[in-house]
Amino acid sequence: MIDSLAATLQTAASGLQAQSMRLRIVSENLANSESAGAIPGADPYRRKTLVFGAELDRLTGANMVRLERVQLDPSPLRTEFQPGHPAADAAGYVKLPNVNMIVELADMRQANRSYEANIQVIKQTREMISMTVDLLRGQG
Amino acid sequence: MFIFQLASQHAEWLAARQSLTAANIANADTPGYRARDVLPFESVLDRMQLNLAVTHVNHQLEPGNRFTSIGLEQEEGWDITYSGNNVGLETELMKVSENGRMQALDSGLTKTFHRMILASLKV
Repeated sequence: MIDSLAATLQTAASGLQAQSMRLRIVSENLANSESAGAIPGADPYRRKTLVFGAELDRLTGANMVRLERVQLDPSPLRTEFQPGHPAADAAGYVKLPNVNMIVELADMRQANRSYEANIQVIKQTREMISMTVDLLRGQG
Repeated sequence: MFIFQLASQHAEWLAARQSLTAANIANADTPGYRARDVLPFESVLDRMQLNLAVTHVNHQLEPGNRFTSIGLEQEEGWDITYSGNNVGLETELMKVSENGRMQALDSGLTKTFHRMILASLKV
């Protein structure tokens, strides 16, 4: 068991890590929003989603957050009529990723907001630590 | 010096509270996570008991009137999202800044009392 304020910093750092992982998945989804397959009838890129889980770090006693798993979004794929596309099936339809730009942008904003909240915790905790250390200094 | 003990206990309680708040914020997007908070400081104080007097060297003391554990309680969030999470970032951030303010009060008081003691020694 370490000092609570040090555990606070660890917890907030794990939050930062989780949210940046989330941002990474969002950017992967956005970058691949038009990635279709290469051969006729092939499946395109599927949107990735991630699941967070609460975790107690046994070594330090800090309640952290961690990335539990990354999974694929099972929602239906878009299809478009593009007979000239290499991935077009016999009827001329191409399967396109199930990435919705608006949803991804909203997710990005939310990740941003949670990241900011964690940063705020770190700032305040550092201030608390330095206030405590200041007790030793400049007296007498 | 009761005031020093009280201030350090309060600071300890604040640190525990800050670490729980950080856990709430870090898990703000975790499905099924319920926000938690420490019990109010008053109830922590109420649970402390006085020490028995020691009249012999072999008498063993209780761990002392310091609290060993700080009780937790489930927090009533403003709302519960579809994933079963009830962390309100606004309330948690308010708690973070409140902790900082109270810590400033603690360290300020400790500093002042320390200066008072030093002043009486210097005369």
